Amino acid sequence: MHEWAIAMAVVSSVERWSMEKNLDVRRVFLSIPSLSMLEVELLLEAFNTIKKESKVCNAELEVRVRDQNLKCRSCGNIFTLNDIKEQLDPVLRDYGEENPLHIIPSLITAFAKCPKCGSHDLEVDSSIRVEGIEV
Amino acid sequence: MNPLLELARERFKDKKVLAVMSAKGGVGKSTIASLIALNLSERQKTALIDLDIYGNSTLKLFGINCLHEVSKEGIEPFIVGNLSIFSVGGLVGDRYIVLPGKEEGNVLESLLGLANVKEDTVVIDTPPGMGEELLTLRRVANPEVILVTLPSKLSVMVVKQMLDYLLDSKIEVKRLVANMCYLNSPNGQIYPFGKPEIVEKIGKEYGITVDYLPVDPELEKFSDRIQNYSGVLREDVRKILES
Repeated sequence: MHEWAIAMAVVSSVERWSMEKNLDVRRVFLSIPSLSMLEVELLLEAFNTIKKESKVCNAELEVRVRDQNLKCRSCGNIFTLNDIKEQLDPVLRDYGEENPLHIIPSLITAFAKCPKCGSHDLEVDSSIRVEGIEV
Repeated sequence: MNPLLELARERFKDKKVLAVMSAKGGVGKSTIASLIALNLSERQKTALIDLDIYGNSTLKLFGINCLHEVSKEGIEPFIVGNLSIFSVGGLVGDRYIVLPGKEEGNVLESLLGLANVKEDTVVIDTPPGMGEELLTLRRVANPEVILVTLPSKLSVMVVKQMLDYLLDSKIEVKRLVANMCYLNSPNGQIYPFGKPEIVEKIGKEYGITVDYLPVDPELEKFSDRIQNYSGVLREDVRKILES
């Protein structure tokens, strides 16, 4: 549901950039972590609706969903989300659709541990960011 | 480009942001932040945001034990009268939170960006110390600070360091609150830690008004329903806000 808030954030960020640079934006490249489980279709729908009222109404949104590699800062083990599926499944089951990882993916270290040594001290690229703008 | 940081800045752009801070833990920041927010909410709609990710005692103080609703506009607040409350605790429930330092800033930016704050006045409860929370708050808003200390040498010493940082960062410190200074008794005020001259001295040195608050043993009865507390501390906090 909060895909709309994120789309609003993208439109206003890009709009401000476009006005500062005095450039027309044709394409926006948004990168999201797969662990956020954000719905790309919903992001596109929201972006295309919100942009109509903005100065970037001609911009198209492209969303790249990044798969995460996690690195344990304690033992150095590198692993994927799939390797800790049994840790994450209960989060989805217990909290439902609006679970903490969907809303704030950076909370993953509260729920995930290194499958090798059990440490929560994990490095993971969990940010939502605009990676590029085409004018 | 970080859209959630931009969104947070947009949300807080024209708001009055009052941050309750202390370099020291256990000085009563959450209680004072809650009482400030409750008093302000008697006059106008007010938001209270708990930035203490690990402690998030705000929800416990208000007896809130459910999860935030999420809408198209973001995280919806818990409503207590005229007060809207936001906390990471409202996303994770009773789950403990452990975060590497780098992720802390992301979590705080996300909370501030996604919190659907409609109110013009926002009270922020911060954790002790001068960590990521202070830096994130500075990235997002221009807070005015109410600094809380105990009337003890140790507390005042670390609060003095925080004062130096705040002034160095050009963050306005509105008041210095010396909490738990005295007990009211039929024979007058009792100062278990001695008269808080050390706080008065710091106030004079930095040109900041100092307020002295009592210990109210009655408050403990309201530690999970602070909204119903109308004792001396709530009244004294009201006087601080009105002065």
